[in-house]
Amino acid sequence: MAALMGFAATSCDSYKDNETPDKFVEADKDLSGVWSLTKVMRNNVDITSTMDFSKFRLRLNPDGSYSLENRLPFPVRHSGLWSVDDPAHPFMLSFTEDGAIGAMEVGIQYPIVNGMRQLSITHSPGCGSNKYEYLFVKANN
Amino acid sequence: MKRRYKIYAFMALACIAFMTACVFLDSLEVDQPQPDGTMAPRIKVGETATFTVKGHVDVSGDRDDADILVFAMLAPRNWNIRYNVVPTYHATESLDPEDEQTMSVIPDASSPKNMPGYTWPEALMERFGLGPNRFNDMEWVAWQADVPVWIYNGGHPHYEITVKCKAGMENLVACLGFFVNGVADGLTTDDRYYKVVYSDPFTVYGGVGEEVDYSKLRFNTVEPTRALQDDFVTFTFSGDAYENKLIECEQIYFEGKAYTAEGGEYTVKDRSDDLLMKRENTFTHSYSVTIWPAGLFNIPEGETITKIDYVFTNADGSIVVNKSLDDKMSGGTPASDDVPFTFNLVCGV
Repeated sequence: MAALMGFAATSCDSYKDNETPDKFVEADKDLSGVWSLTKVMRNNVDITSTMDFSKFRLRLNPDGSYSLENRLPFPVRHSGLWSVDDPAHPFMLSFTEDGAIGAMEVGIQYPIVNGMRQLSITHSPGCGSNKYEYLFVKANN
Repeated sequence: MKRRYKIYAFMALACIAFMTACVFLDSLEVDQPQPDGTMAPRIKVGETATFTVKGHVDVSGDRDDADILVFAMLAPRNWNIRYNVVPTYHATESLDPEDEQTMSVIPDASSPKNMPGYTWPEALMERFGLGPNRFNDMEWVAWQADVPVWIYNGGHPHYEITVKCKAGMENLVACLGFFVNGVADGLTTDDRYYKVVYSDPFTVYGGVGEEVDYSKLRFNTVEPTRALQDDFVTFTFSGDAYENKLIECEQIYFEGKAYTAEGGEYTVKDRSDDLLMKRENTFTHSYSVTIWPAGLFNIPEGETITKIDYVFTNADGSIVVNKSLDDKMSGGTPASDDVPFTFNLVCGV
């Protein structure tokens, strides 16, 4: 075992980076940016091609404010402040509309697909029996 | 376990040479007590109906093993029977006939033995479809007994399944399907070992909006069937339902008028891309459009749509498919020629 460890240490030496394992901390998931819809599921059926979802924008600004453009059904209607429950492992995205007393929290997922971070929000803006998944990708504007 | 508590059989069994257990479905009762004291196959929206399925099983041969009763039902989707129905049963010769036995929805991970790869609802839809119904907004749901039972030769047990079923909030007429089988048989193609029957037309009344007759083809469907103004709602024109001139047109549009609880009326009848109906494939004349009602009708904040009247029409509006035409083509006698289709925006209970 000692020999193996010695070998491993030696063989890794030339690739050693500046960060040692005990200093490693998982990076925060940066969800700020401009998000556009790439996929919309209604009750587990893909309805993306059935209407034009392309103009909708969710702007999560680095300063903690957010805004919606070309509004679609969404957990909130007006601009306000956004935050996550845990910067490293966010499960909830909170929106507090300007002037509102409480925050609206939605469960999120943020898979990386083809090297790009995506953001998934599941919500029921109409009847509770209808579930929608919005899958966002970062937009250029 | 005392022998008398072992069940002989009341379900279909795999037909293996000398082992048989033929299932019989002797009667189906769907009539409900009416306000005038009579019994009839109808119930008010949201109320709980009681259906009774009676039958027996003839067991012969050398069988001596356990089996599990399977019961399934075909009903309109808006009844949501997976969650709103709990079937129970009593059986003679086996479990104590006085005891009410329970059943649970079969998990989707369990396939019928003879239709691997299918869930039970998928297998039943594949095998039996909609029965005498023609409007494809129904679902099969299957339950299995919570207690396995013992099967062996010489039994002629009788069973009685009771279904307490809460009707949905939509006015409709549909033929309900009832199916009896066993896990060991698992939907063979031999109908001695399962039975399926359909009720006469069963009516749900007293709700808002038009009555949907599931036995008839229709020009229009809406999905999801329950929606509010912040849902995405898909309206479909099924141009092959009956003869019509609209399917000959190059472009087909949706026209609608939304009514709000606050008294507002909002009409969309331009020929924008938002209202252009897309043909779903080249094989059928089926066209659909998906809308966000609050956005499409530009409903002011604070108002809530309660219903949408709508028609399907061509570019210059000269050809219209509406409820009047739908009624006329399906054998009815509409009061006028210009009654639109109506979609009520409710979630129900």
